Amino acid sequence: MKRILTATAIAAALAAGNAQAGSTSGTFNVSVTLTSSCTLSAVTAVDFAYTTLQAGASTATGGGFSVRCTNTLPYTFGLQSGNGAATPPGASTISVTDNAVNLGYSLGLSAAGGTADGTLQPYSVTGTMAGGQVGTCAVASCTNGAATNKTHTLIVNY
Amino acid sequence: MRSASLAPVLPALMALLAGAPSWAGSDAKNVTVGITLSQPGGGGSGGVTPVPPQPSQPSQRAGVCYSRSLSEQTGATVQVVCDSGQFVSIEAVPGQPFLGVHGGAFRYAMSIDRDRSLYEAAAKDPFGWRTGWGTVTMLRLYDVQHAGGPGDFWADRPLELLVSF
Repeated sequence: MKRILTATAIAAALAAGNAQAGSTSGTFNVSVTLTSSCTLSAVTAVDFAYTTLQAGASTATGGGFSVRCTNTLPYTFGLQSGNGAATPPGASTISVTDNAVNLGYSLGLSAAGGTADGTLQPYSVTGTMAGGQVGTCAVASCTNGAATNKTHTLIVNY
Repeated sequence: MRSASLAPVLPALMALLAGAPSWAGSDAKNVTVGITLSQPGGGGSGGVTPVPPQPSQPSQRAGVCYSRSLSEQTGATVQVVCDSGQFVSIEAVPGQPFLGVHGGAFRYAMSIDRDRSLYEAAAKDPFGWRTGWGTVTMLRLYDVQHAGGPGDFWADRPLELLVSF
């Protein structure tokens, strides 16, 4: 019986073996550097359907894109003719004469910019082609597939 | 005295005014513009899908033959040959001189009233029972320079039109 009691006492002493004699504490700071940025999605093609000498202006379809930026970050958009290296901030509108079908058009933006909320925010590149243009087309219907100035640049500045 | 004290900071102010914008960064993507140009009076694609250029002049509307050669030329004779079952028409181009003159576009078709054997087939023609399978369109313009004209009656007075098609 005495041996059993001794074994129990030894087990209890082992179980309580982590007991601390005392403690102290300190504080430390976490430093976070957040670099704000914006990311543009791909831009869907801006498409015009035009009939020679049509009376009214033609409004383009497509041109949708979205931007996602650091929350609360303000940003603006700009356009640049051609697909060369972007030179921010770009222009609010650009005017181009397509060198395949010889039709002039203007591109703009659905908004000058905005303030980020952390989500994908949708916008669009708008297009207008004035009426009364003749164009160049040797057959019944042509596209500007061969144009060398059909690609332009959208810029987001932040 | 005040201007003298500003002098040292003026270059800095000028640099700020003329300096780069305050944007921290930018991102850019390409924008591609697609254009489909159609001739007036034609069906065209009418949509956003580009249509490859055609190697030859096709019919612009199903079942209709067109010719645009010699447009806006005087004294020209244009012959349009179509496959059987197609309709031949001379129509004005919107915005061209022909439109608005003498009531606008002219379309003529041969009547088949006297041909009973073709009546059933012609009745299915979308242009109506008066149009047969394979039609002829003709627009005759009288020359005002030859006052004699084809007739002396007032209704036969010369008529000059510039036809654009």
